[in-house]
Amino acid sequence: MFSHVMLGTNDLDRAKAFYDKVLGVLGAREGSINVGKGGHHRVFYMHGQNIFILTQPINDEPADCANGMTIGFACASPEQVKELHDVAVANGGQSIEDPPGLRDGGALGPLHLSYFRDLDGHKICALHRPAA
Amino acid sequence: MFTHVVVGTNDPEASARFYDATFGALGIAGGRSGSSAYYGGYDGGFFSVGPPRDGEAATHANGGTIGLSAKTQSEVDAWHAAGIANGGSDEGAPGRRDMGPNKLYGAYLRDPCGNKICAFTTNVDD
Repeated sequence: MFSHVMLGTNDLDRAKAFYDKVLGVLGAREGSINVGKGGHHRVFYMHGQNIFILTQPINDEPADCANGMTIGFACASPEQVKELHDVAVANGGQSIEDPPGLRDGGALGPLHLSYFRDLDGHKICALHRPAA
Repeated sequence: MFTHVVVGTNDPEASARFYDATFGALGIAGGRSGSSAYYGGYDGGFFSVGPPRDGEAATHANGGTIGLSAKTQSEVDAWHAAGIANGGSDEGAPGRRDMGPNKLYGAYLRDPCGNKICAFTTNVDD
């Protein structure tokens, strides 16, 4: 479904250092810096046939986060769900909602979940769905 | 990499109408769960739109974009037209947007809540 997800940041270097470590948990390589046509810098992460991008907003206004928005990252195991969260928190992210663990996803079945906010306040979810 | 993306809305009916039409143009089916609408599934990724859980107003992010995959250029065209016809606003007309050696065709919209989304295909007509 997704070709890519792009998030704005007010400190690209700091955001890159954060996501280099966090997405490293999933096996993603260090982000690569790229300069857009308008001179705005962004960082690309390519992993699992998707692209995650951090960017300086192209309208030169401050980046902010959307209330109501969550980006879910796929994890290979319950341990990885916790590790993604723990690495984020160790690097300045904020743990939110319930601690990492198994939750009843209703019709979706059991889900291993953790939630944190990144350094710009974006809400991130780590999810592993056990095989049915 | 991504399992899902959730965006907020202050008008669930308007957002559901918009996303029903735009995901329909991409051949992706959806449904309802309470006041949220959802599209796709766990196998290929899913998208959901609904009121924020904290009860505060939904906002869109400056600097953020959610990119959706389209199979063909005509799907991108249909996606963009469906969005405009269902409460979205134009943020970039369908056209070539090559990046380096990568041939891309895409279009941009804002949903009724202002969230910026785009649809891209790498299946480009030369």
